[in-house]
Amino acid sequence: MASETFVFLDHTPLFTALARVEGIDPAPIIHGALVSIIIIALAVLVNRSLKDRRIMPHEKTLSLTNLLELAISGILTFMEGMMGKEAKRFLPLIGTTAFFILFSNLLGNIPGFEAPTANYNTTLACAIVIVVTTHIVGIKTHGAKYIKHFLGPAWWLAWLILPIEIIGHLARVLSLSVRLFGNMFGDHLVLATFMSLVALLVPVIFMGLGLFVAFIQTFVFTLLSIIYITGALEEAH
Amino acid sequence: MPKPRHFYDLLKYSSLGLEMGAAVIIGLLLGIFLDRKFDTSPWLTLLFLGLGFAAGVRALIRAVRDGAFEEETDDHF
Repeated sequence: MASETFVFLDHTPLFTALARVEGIDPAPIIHGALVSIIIIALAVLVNRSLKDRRIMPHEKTLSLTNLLELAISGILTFMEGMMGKEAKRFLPLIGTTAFFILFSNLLGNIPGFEAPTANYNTTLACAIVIVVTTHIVGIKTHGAKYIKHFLGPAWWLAWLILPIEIIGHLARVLSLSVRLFGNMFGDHLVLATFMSLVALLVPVIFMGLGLFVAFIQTFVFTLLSIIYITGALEEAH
Repeated sequence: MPKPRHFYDLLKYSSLGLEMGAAVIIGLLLGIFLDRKFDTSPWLTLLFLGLGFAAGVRALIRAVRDGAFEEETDDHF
């Protein structure tokens, strides 16, 4: 499918350099890097405009700074609704994954670009980061009690509960990554199919749908990350 | 707009289906991997398939128990 459509970044020197390395698919790497560059550029721009802001009250006009502030404070309020006081601690992680996934999904909607999240490697990386973080958080806040949680209610059941718990936590990684990947890849596939059937007007419907899916899946991934981290924080009962 | 906690409940239960399926697949893959490593086909595959299923059911039981617990303490919805 990717070979059929024209992709801008396939014609950059970095792509040809990466394509020479065996066993590497350069497209998601380059698009992922592009998303990172976009986010870093936005952060630098906004940071600069925050520095020479003289008055604290908000400007009346719609600027990039205001828009991002709205988005970030929205994420923070949402997190505070679930985690309480701990929300600020995890805002950098959750906010970054949210922005990365949102921009990745939206990049796939621009003709001539591919979504990095339509490749399983990207989504798996995101899911592993989140799930490993939940375990680090759990061990940090509960110590040995968190590990004891993996062994079940009674010591003579530990040999059975331990593999079950490990499988359950690996399943979280799989379900988190497959959900995002499946939605973005499927969206891409539907669009490509209808584009080849009727090139005029009909794909617009699916592009609108794709825009919707991009936001929904970002929301779902972020919310599930918050749920998992909250679960590790309040493991006690 | 509904409360964040409402979304929390919705997603917690709706993600359960995929998680149960994923647990079985993880168990199966782990079993096949271990069978290849120790050359004991098909026993470890069957064992871990069962464990994967058990992990899925455990996730379901935990969600139901948490839900029942929340119903006792919460007075909304």
